[in-house]
Amino acid sequence: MEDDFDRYVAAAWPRLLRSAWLLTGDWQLAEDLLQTALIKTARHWNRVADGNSDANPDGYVRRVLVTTYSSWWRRKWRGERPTERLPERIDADHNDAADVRFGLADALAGLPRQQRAVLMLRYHADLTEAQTAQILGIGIGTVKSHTSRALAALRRRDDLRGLLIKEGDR
Amino acid sequence: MNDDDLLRDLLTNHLPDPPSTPAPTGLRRRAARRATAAVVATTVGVFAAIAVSTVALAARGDEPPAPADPFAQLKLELWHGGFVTSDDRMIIIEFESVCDGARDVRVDERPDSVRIALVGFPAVDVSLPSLLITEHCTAQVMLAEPLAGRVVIDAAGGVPRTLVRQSRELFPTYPLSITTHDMNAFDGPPDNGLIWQHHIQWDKRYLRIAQYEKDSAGGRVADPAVREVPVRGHLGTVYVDATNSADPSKAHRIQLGWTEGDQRIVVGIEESGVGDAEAMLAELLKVADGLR
Repeated sequence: MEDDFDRYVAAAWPRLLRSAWLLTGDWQLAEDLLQTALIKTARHWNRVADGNSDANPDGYVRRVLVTTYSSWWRRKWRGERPTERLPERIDADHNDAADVRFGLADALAGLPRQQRAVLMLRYHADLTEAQTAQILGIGIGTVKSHTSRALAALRRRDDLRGLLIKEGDR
Repeated sequence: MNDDDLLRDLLTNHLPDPPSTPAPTGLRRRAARRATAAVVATTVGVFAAIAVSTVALAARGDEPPAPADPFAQLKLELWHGGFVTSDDRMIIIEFESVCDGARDVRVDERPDSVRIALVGFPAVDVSLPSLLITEHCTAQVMLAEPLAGRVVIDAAGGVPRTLVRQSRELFPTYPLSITTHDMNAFDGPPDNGLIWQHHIQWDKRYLRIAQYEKDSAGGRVADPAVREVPVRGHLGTVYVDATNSADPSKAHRIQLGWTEGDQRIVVGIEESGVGDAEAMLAELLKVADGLR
């Protein structure tokens, strides 16, 4: 069973690391967060995997990522946070994919923590509003308002606006 | 595409690539990195209410039979690091609790090793973690005899754990790389839709503190007031970790640490309510100066 877990970690690491990055905005913190979440997952791996075809380890790990991230913040020991402005920023080229990624990182760093968590769970982990609300312990209405505010903040950026405006509104 | 589809596309297809670090090959390698957490968690008093018992082995004859495993019938959980007090008699282990029941820590002391078992007594189904149930915990174990170089083993996995030795009644931790975290930030409490954000940036002999006024969407609405605080030492020897609480009723806390040889010293200062970050930092630097 431990071998199963190690194989899962090896295969899922890149995609789960992206999930963690969406919460932290920092690859090093994301790695720490993911490792902590995987330690917790390992403890319950029998139940998480369980040979069940419906098992969704990614979903479980992402929920643990969010709860761990929240508990880190509540404990206040993890002082480092992503900066508002990332260093060595290059001039924006709106058609360049690298700029979009850089702009996304910068924009996410400016969002409140819970908005980032909502974005990760709703649009990266692909959970429903109800599932997102349950994990975060908030109402569905709050999930909607967080989404709306986050979308508005992302749209204010020149380097992301093109990707977030509907065809008919361009 | 509607808004949901647009966001899903952005957060699925336009994420940056992670650095080319391979996935860890197992859980063992994480013990060292997590030690930092326990230092601060211990500093702020996050202790789990854990019943601790010690099982000391009785003296044996010259050819003792193989001892029975005292933990054989128990549900053991992983712990992942800890500390040894300077008197060599107390071990503090750290673990992640999901508050799914009681836990007990038991010790099996042998001449060449000390096995520590974190025993779980789950009370509820934890297949769905909730926001309120994860907590970083520590538990203290008093040994019958000084550790004296014996190997400390996590009974759950049977693997040795590297423990950090405390010194000077402060908590050393593993060195952190200041070069990768040269700027730290912390948010103040919301105030009528405004968020005060402080950035602390290490710049060789100065800490630069920038205070921003931000709106609720995270946009900066005023130019920062930047001040500099001189510090002793040189780049790589002083590490600053600053946090405060999003809850204004909680304390505002700043920590500062530095490296002495292979030891890492962390001191902190705490103030109730909304603190003056600069005054706290100045006070903290005085404390640090006195200790160095």
